[in-house]
Amino acid sequence: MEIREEQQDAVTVVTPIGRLDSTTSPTLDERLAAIVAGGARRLVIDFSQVDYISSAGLRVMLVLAKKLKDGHGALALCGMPDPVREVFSLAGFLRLFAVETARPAAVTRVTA
Amino acid sequence: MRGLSESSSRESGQRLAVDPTTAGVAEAFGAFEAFAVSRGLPEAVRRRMLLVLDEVLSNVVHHGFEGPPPAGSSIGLTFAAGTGELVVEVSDDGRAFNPLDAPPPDTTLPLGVRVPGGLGIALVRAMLSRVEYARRDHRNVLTLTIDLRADVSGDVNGDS
Repeated sequence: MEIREEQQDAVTVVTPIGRLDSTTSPTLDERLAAIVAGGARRLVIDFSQVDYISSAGLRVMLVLAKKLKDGHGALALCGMPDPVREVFSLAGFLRLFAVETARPAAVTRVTA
Repeated sequence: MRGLSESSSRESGQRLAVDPTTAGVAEAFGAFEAFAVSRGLPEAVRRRMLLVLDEVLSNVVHHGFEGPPPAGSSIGLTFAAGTGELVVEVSDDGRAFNPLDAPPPDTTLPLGVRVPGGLGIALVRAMLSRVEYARRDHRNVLTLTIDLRADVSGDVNGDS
C-alpha cells in the first residue's frame, strides 16, 4: 500500500492510503516500526485516505501506541472517515487514542 | 478455484463454496457484495457484514489449518435476507475451533496492560446482532446475524 510520510517540525505525519486489512497492515506496521526505530517520537497518523480498517489495522495502531508510550513519545490520529471511526468506536479504541478530526489539531496535540 | 454452485430463488438466499485461500476469500467478498446489492441491503449493514466476513474468513485461512489446506478443502457460505434479518453462515473443514470461546478483550484496561488478541472476534460480536457456533459434520459452522430492523450500535464494553 502507498504510505505518505511528511515532517512538520518535530512531528512525523504518516498517511496510509487505501485498505488496512490483514494483507496490507503488515506493510504499515513495518513502516511505522522503521520510523520509530529511526528516532521519531511524535507521530500523527492521518486516516483521511483510509477507506477500510479491520482488526489487523487496529492491532498495528495498538502496537505503535505501546511502542511510543514505552519510549515516552506521543501519538495522535486524525481525519477518520465515518466507517473507520465506527470500527475504532466498536472496538473500544476511541478512548485509547488521542483522536482529532483535523490534522493541525493532531499535530498540536503531540507537540504539547 | 471453485466457483458458484446454484443460486436459489430470492426467498431462499444464496449458497457458494470457495477455496480456503486469500483468492477464495476475495471471491466470497464479491459474492456477498453482489448479494447485498441485489437485495438492497443498507450500506451500513453491508459494510458491517463485510468486516465480519473479513475477520472470520481471515481466521480460517491463517489459523484454520496446520500447513496448506488439504485438496478438496472448502469454505461454505450461505447468504439469506428474508424475515427482517441478514443471516450469513460460514462453514469450514479446518481444525475444530470455536472463536467465541476466546474471552473478550477488556478494552477498559490501560494501554500497558492490554494484550492485542481476541480483537477480531470482539469486533465481530460488536457488529452483529447475534453470532452462534456449532460443530457439524466435521465442520466449524458460524452463523452471523444482523437484525435489519434494529439499530446495531454500541461498542464491545456495552456502551454506545
